[in-house]
Amino acid sequence: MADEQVPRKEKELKDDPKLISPPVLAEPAYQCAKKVKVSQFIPLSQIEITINAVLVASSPVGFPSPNGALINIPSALVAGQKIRARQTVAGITSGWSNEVTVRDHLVDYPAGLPRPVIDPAPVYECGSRTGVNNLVVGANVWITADGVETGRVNGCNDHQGVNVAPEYANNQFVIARAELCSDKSPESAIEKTRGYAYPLPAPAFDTVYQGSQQIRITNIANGARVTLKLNGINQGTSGCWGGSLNWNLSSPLPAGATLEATQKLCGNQPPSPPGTTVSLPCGNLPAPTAYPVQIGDVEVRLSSFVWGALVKVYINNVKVGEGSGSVIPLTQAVSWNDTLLIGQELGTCKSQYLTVIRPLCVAPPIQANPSDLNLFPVGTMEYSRGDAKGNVFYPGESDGDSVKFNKRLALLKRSPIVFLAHGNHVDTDPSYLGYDYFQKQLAQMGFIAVSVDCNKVNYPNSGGGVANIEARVDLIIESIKLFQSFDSAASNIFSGKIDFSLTGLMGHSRGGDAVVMTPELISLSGVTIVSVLALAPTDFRGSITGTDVNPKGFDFMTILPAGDGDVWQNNGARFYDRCSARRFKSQLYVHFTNHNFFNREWLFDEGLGPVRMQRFEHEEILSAYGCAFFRRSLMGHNTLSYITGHALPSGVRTDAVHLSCKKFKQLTVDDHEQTGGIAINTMGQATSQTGMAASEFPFKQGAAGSFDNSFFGNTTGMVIQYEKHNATFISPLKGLRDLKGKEIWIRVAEVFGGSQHVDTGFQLGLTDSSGFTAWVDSSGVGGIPDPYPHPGSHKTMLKTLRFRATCFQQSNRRFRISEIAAIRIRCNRTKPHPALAFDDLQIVS
Amino acid sequence: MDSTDFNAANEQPLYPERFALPPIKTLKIKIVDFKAPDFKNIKSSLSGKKQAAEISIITDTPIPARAASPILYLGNNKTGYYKLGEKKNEYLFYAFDFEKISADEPIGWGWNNDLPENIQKTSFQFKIK
Repeated sequence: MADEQVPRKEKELKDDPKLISPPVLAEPAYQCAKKVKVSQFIPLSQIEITINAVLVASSPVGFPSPNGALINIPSALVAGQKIRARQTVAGITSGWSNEVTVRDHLVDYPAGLPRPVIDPAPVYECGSRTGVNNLVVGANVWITADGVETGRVNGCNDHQGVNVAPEYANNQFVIARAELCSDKSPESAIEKTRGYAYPLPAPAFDTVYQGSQQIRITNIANGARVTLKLNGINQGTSGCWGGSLNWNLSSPLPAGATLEATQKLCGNQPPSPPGTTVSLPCGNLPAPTAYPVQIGDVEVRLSSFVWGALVKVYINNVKVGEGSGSVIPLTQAVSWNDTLLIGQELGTCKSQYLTVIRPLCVAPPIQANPSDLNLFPVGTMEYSRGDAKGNVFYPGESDGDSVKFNKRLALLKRSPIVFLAHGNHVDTDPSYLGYDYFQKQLAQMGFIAVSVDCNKVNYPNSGGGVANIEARVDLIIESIKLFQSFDSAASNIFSGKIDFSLTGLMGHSRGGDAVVMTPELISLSGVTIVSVLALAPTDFRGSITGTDVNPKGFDFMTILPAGDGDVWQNNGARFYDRCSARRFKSQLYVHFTNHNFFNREWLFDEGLGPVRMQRFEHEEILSAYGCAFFRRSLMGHNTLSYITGHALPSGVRTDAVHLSCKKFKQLTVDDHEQTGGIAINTMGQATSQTGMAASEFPFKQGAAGSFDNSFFGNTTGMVIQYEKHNATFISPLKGLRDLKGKEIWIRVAEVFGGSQHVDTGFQLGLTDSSGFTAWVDSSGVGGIPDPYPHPGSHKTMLKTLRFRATCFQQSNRRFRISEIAAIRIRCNRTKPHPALAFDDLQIVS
Repeated sequence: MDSTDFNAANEQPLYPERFALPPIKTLKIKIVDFKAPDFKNIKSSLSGKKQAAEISIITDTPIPARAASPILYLGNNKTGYYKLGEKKNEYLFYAFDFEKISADEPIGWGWNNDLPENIQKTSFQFKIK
């Protein structure tokens, strides 16, 4: 949806010239570094740095994009020191930035620095600059070609360009490495240089405006040298690691200035054709756009802006932020009923329009992708002993087949292990190889990731029914046993390396069925299955024998492709509903995905309904959410926020992911499982309803008394039908409850009634001890999606909406969030009114 | 883009018709002594079964490979466990509580996740020879 915009001239803005945002000090900052990183500053400002409140550096900076500025400090950082920054521009000084406490990198990376990544790859013959990523700020990074150092940056950025001399020759082996506090990182993966497939393309430009002093040139070959001309006058030549190059000009551009760029790699090859652009007049400068903002935010994240522009943010027409770059810190938190206006300026040129942002109760921020944690080289090995077959990816001393296990990691602790099991497919295809991308990611972060070859029980020898799932369980356990023997052997890559008390399982299709069954059947001493991820699982026990499967005792996640053309009933929903998890359970109902594309050996799109997303987008969903799941469950990492929906993984089609989540040991108000029917909630309190017909129904296929045949889970829930506007359901709490800082979670879905609705929703109300009710609309917490148009059936698939108590609190000052007596559901939409399904109303800490 | 996008086979998407079960050409039922699958690490849920009605079917073409499991519907009873027979396209299904199945019950043929209306009616009935 396009952002709402208003003409600037229609607004009377209070623009206090003395108010500028503080810059952002990058976290973490590590001991031994002699540089700190500052971002989101105003272009060409002066940055001051204090350590333990003593001014240690004052430095002019250029532009905050693309990756901030590094400020030299006089002596190396020491753990425990507290750093702050501020900026001064045109005599105006900002407030202080966030405070960062210096850490020892070994606290965050006990096994040493993360592994550098040459990014972008590949590396071309005659390249003069190479990007290295996955670094810690302030480390020293260097590049070798055929073992000879050809470039170095002491005190690097997290993604650092390194100039190399001499230029690369063809067929050289290029490696990057980093060091901090005399601690050397593992070597990067080797990149072998190659010749570019000439001709080089013409560079391109992002749109340039009158007043621009920073431009971005794109379409650059990795390592090429870029020459820029302005109105025919040479501005110089710069090496570029590839992709794009931000170029700072000596003065702002006038309207109509002509920019021309060429690029060149090898001297014996011609340069590219020129790419050109002309700077547009001021009137063309657009408003920046922003990601959704939620109540309590103290910054605005921009989704588009002009390079080098000064961005101003207003709340209710009063300036509260002025900065540059992709994030603008605010001087006050965003509150209920605020209206944000955002504009940008280049010198005296101001965008004619302002983007309007109305804060939501819940708008989770996009954060780092949990699959990006990349610490170790990856060893791989095929294994085969009797029926135990498959392959394993593990943290290695280097990349390669059967390399030694990573020594530093092994000295610290044993590693958790995850076993993966594919599903039914022709046995001539090596299905177990199909999750190599996920295995590699898990191994990079310290897991041992085993993919079990189940082809012995695959088509045509698969047989049918529950016995085939048991056969898969048997193979999984056989591989676990084999790895136990590896672990206990005197001489093996895995000798003493595996922590079987932290065992995870991931299964796909029939393999998903098997990994749910395995914890029930396994009896191996020393093995504790802590986490189970069932990807598009079948449920043969449920669908063939009518048995309710009750997963319990482990953390659980299931991923359900909404466009699944094979397991079209999304059987994992039954597992989710019946699961009594160890700490949490999670369900991802993912629109526009099919059954097969999570496995690289399963080539066909068997999906049904709307066009499915691309294969790599399927993989990104499994990678991001699967890594978040196993990291949280087996390593204790702080990644639960992705699973609960408090954060979104970057680079993932999160718009298509509809989460359900339940944390245990929370206060359940109503899960509709109690006796007494709709009249009593789970707290034993008498409910009431006005203007509606609310009743409890089995949310299960074929169950007697079902509301309709659109429910594919296995639980009991509530369906509300209403005709009267503002029909209300009231669920009293047992005693007054203090909800300050808490959230109210409820699962909800629209029940498909034969047509799509543009405005399905409801309001959730909290009633305090004085009888006052504050309301928050479902549209402010993510909304209710339309039922997915699967040709087999429109399913009523519930998702969890999170209502933050602070939103109710801010809606009215009289409201007593510390004395909540009841929770209300009010149906306030205009006709037609599709029925709404609800379940699992909880108060969550 | 990943490597599989370069696979020519990827240009031939699998359509749902591919999941159509082949018609049953012949069906024979007899009572047999039953031996449950022998697993190394777990006990089969069928391990207590000593006798079964073995239903041998021969289909026109092989049963397609997919996640779902083919089912013989013996009246209201679902029979999912099967193994390959010795003849071409022969499959041996096993019904365990066959005493409870009425003689001449109609036999249906479908996937375990088919809606009732999609289960194929066959010309066969439950008749033990």
